[in-house]
This record gives sequence, structure tokens and C-alpha cells, in this order.
Amino acid sequence: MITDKGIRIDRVGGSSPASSSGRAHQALLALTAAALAIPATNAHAQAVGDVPTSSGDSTLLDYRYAGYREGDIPGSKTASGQRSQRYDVDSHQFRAATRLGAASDLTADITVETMSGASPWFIIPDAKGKPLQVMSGASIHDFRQSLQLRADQHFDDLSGSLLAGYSSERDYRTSNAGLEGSWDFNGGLSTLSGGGGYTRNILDPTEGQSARFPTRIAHAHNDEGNGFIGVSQVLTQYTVLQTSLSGGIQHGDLSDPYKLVYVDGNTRNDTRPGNRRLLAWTTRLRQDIPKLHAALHIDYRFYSDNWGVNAHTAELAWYQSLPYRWVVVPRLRWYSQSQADFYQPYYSSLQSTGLYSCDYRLSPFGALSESFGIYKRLGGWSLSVRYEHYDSSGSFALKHVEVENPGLVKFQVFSAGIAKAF
Amino acid sequence: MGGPCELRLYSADQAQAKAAINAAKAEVLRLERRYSRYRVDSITSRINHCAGAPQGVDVDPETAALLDYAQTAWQHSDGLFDITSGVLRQAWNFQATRLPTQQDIDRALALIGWQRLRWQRPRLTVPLAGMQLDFGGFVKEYAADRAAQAARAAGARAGFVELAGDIALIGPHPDGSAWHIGIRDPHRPEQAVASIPLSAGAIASSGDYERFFEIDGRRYSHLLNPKTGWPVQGLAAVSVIAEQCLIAGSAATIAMLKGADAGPAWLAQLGLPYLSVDAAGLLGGTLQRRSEFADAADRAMP
Repeated sequence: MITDKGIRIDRVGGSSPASSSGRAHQALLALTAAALAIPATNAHAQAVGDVPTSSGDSTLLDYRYAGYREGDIPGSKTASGQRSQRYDVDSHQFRAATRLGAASDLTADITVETMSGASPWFIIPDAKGKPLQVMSGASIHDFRQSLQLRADQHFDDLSGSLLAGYSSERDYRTSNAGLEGSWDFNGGLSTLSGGGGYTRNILDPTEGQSARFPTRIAHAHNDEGNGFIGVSQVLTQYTVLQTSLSGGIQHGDLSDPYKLVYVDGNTRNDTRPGNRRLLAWTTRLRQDIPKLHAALHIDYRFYSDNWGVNAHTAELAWYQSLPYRWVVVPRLRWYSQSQADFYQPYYSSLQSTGLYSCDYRLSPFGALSESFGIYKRLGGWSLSVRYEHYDSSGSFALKHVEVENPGLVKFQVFSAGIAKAF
Repeated sequence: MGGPCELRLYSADQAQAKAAINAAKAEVLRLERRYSRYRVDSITSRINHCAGAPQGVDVDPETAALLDYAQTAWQHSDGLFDITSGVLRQAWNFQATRLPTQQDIDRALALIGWQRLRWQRPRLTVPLAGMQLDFGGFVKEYAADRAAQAARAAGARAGFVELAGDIALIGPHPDGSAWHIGIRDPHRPEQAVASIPLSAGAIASSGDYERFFEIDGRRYSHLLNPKTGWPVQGLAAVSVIAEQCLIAGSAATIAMLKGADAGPAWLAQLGLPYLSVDAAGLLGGTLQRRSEFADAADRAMP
């Protein structure tokens, strides 16, 4: 289009439209006024801050510490009548994510955790039939390390992901693999996503079939297949609704080898069905409220499995942006579940089903958790701290709980993270 | 920006030249990112994704000013300059040499019309799902202005920015002499039909040579009348000089859409220097004489 001769041929004074401004038509005046009204303020500075993280090569490094502390179980709930410590976990998570070109991501998560403390063992009735918790005598010390890898590939409207992971502790190994995909359609307003995965768990319980614990199994394994399908719909510029259905089938030894049950004066191994089919329906609403620089998140989840556990989770979170790139997030979550069919705190007779468990996680209960997070972005750095308080009780449940499991847990989690994008 | 982009400048200081180049380039990339309809994260895509949503979209001040500009251009062009006309691309596929049916065109026309939008700063409501805004028709020229401005702000004094054929000067050659802008022959794109000297301001062109197809000897260009849905007939190309590339570009586009008679008349009324080439290849416009002179002067030089 341009042919610059690079030599001086002609000095032109009249090529500037200034010379014709005297004859300017009303349209030109109007267009000029409109053109001059376009703000020219610090466009360059804006350009620097505007660089999206979604193009070109970039790398994210993230470290997060979480301290999980279960509250002591009071003496009024233990068989010993003494207050007992429970479980603590210290978790260190490292994430490295890198973008290869514009369309591929690789993410690696490494988690290292140390666990220690005591956990509920079995429940006995006192003289009046009130259930009392027997805690595992010895203090447990374990160390878990896990690696999760994820590769994402984005095509125009499609993206696919491959996942694989491995985790190991002294008595437990688990490996998993999965495939996920999503498709944007309806002009990007709708996203259909789905996926499936497989997990294998191998247990080699500590002191299995030892002189001390002759009935404890020495080896067990189980497999799990799971899948999900979901759709996310942009309803308005500020509202996104997402709903998904997920299901899973677990097969193999699903009992807890460290737990016993009390049956009419004796103890037996925790014994659960050899398969479990579960289904969950989750719906999430994201509502941006630009006037308040805030977003409201409302989530609901219904869970049901063939052990008889039906559960509801409702969560409310408020994301409030503040000046200087601070964000604070208060969050409230309520949970309620019904008990598994075969669960009892203790048994007065042998069961024809042969199934026994007094695990508080299979008991009827409700839980409330409140958390507060503070997030701050500082250049390429992101800092976060979060505190959560969780309490579970029969009184939080949707339906009346006649006998509350004495092992119901309360805990606090403190976490802090630092991330840097390059 | 839909074509080759070029930046030329003189500088005695390499660091300063680099700073000016980077500033200009960053500005172009910034606007490309913000307004390209090919990017899902652009403002254009955000607006188009919300077409049909009654709440509309709140836009930033720069986008608001560009929308004000588009509205002004629409008002002063009798509705020919219309940034909602991009959906006609769905009917007219210039990769395939095939005419759309009138039904295809009518379907697209139902989704076109600035008057259908509700624009009340800072909120834009695109009422019909399927309507699309396309800033491509004027953001390229705006970007040329902004890039030249950014280079000047970084200290450059002599040079120009060219974005796919539209040129904004940073300033004349260091000795004050004009740059010579070759105007492409619409029917022999490799040849210049004229050379126009320019020492300030900007020049933008619009022509039927960029994308077109021919059926039975008739040329169907990509310049589509948003009211009829059919390609404009008449002028083959128009180049306009203005203080701002944005205005030169809109004026050239509007003149093309107005056609062989009304287009040049409107430009003359506007008072902007222009050069037109009609379907027969005949030059017209206020720049014609000067460019002929320049050509002669060119040939006279060794």
C-alpha cells in the first residue's frame, strides 16, 4: 500500500486537513468531536496491566500450607471418661502449572502431609445404654505423599484433559487416572462437560493379623469408577448457572480395617458391603454484583448412595473485592446426612446381614462450617490466608437424630498460600 | 488487525527508538486484544455473548467513547456506517463463489441496525440474540492513531504507523519533507495508481479489492450495504486524508457505501481531501491533481 521513495520530492503544506477546516461539514465536526472524546489517558500503562494470563507461555508456582486440627473429644463422650486428643494433619502442597503455547497446560501437584493423633475405634454402651467412644490407644503417626498430574489441551470450542495420580502412605496406596472434556457451544454461553476416572486403592493395614490385632486384615483393595456430566449456562453477563450429575461405583473391600464394632459384649471388625453406588447432583449459581464489586456464590448438592446415605449440602459465599486488589470471602456451609442402613453406634445382637459399622461418618448428623479468607494480589504475586471452623452435631441435621454418635468431629483449618505467575 | 502492519521511524537514539516502537506495538496489541472478535476474551466477544440478555453490558470509558463515535458515524451516514452489520458475513461467504439467497440476507438483516441497540452510557443492551457488534470497521484506524500517538509520547518525531493499509503519521521525514503514500490500483493491487504526499495527519482507504468474487463478470465486494444486505456497486476504491486515521477511515467507508455519485459528493461536502477510483478505473477527487503532479515529479527524479 505504501511506496515510500525515501527521497524528497515535494513539500506539501496542503495535505493536512487543517486547510479545509473552514469548509468543514457538520458531519466532520460531529465525527471529530466524537473522536476527540475518546479518552487517551495512560493507554500504555493500561496495556501493561492488561496482559491476560491466557496467552503465551506462562508458569504458575503455588505453595500452600494447611494445618488441620481436630478438637479434643470430651471426657463425657469417651469410655475412659478422659478427654482425648484427636487427629492433626499438616499439609504442604506445591503446584507448578505451565502453559505450553496458547493451547496446552500442564499441571503438577505434589502434596506432603504428616498425620498424627488418635481416632475413634469403637463405641460401647454405658449402663444406661448411652454410647461412649473408645479411642485408638496408640497414637498414629503417618506420612503421605502424593503426585497428581494433569494435561489440558484446548481446541476451538473443545478442551480435553488427561489426569493421573499416585499417593502413598505407610499403609495405603492409591492410583488414579481420568479423562475429562468440555465443549463450549451456543456462542460460548453454554458449556457441556463430562469426564470419567478410575481409582485403585491398596491397603496394607499396620499390624494386620498381628498378635495384638489378630482379626485385623493384612491386605485389602478396592476399585472405584466414576463419571460426571455437567452443563454450565451463562444466563446474563453477571449470572452463571452450573448443574452437574456425578456417579460412582466402588467395589472391593470398603470396610475400615482400623475400626471395630461392639456387638453384645464382644467386638467385631467393621464390615461394610462390598460395593457402593453413589450419585450426586450439584448446582451452582454465580451472581456478580458489579455495583458492590462483589459476587455471590450459592451451591447446593444432593448426594445419595445405595448404603442409604442421603445428604444435602448448601453453601453460601460472598466474594468482596476491595481497593488495592484485596478480596475477602466469608463462607457458610451447612451439611446434613441420613445414616447408612447398617450403621449403629453399637449392636445388641448379631446382624443377619453380617454388616456392622459405628463410624461417625456413616451416622446421622449435620454440620456447620464457617470460613473466612483474605486474598491479596501484589504484582505477579498472590497471597492468601484462610480460616475455617467446622462443627458437626445431631442437632444440625435436617431430621431429628435420636442417638448422636459420640465420635462426631469438630475441627479448625488454617491455611496460607503464596503463588507467583511468571 | 487483518493485514500486515508496519512501523517506520527515524531516531538518533536507539534506546529511544526501541521505546517508541514498543509503545506503539503495545498499543496496537492492546486494542487488538480488547476489540478483536476472534478473541473470546475481548470486549467485543463479551458484548456479543450477552446479545439477547436484557440486562446489557456495562462498558469501560474507552469502549463507551468508541460506541459514541460509532453512533455519530451512523447518524451522519444515513445509517450506512453500522457496526451491527457484521452478521451479513454469515450470508456472504467470500471464500465460496456463491451468491446467498435473498432469504439468507433477510435473515441477517433482521439482526442488523444500530437503532435496535440501547446505548446509554455506560450500558449497552444488544436486545436480540444473534446480533453482533464488530469494532473491526474502525478500531484498526483508531489503533493507528493511538500507536502513532504512543510513539510520539515516547519521543519519536519522524515516522508512520501502517495497519493493513491505513496510515497515521508520527511526523514527516526529519527534514520536514512529506512521506509518499502509494495508493493501490483496485484492479491491479500490485500497482500504485497514485502517490500522495503526506506530512501530517493520516490517510485511510477503502476498496472493493480486499475481498470480492466475480460471477458472470459482475464483481461482488465485501462492502455490504447494511440496509439492503447487498454489496455496494460504484466506486472501486476511496482514500481519504484527515487529521485522524479514525475519521479518514470512516469517511472512506461511508463514501464507498454511498456509491459512485453520492460518495464523492459527500466527501466534497465533508471537505476532506480524497482520491477515488471508479469501476472503470478513472481517478477522481481533490487529491487527483496533486498525486498526478507527484507522479510526474517522481518520474523526473533520477
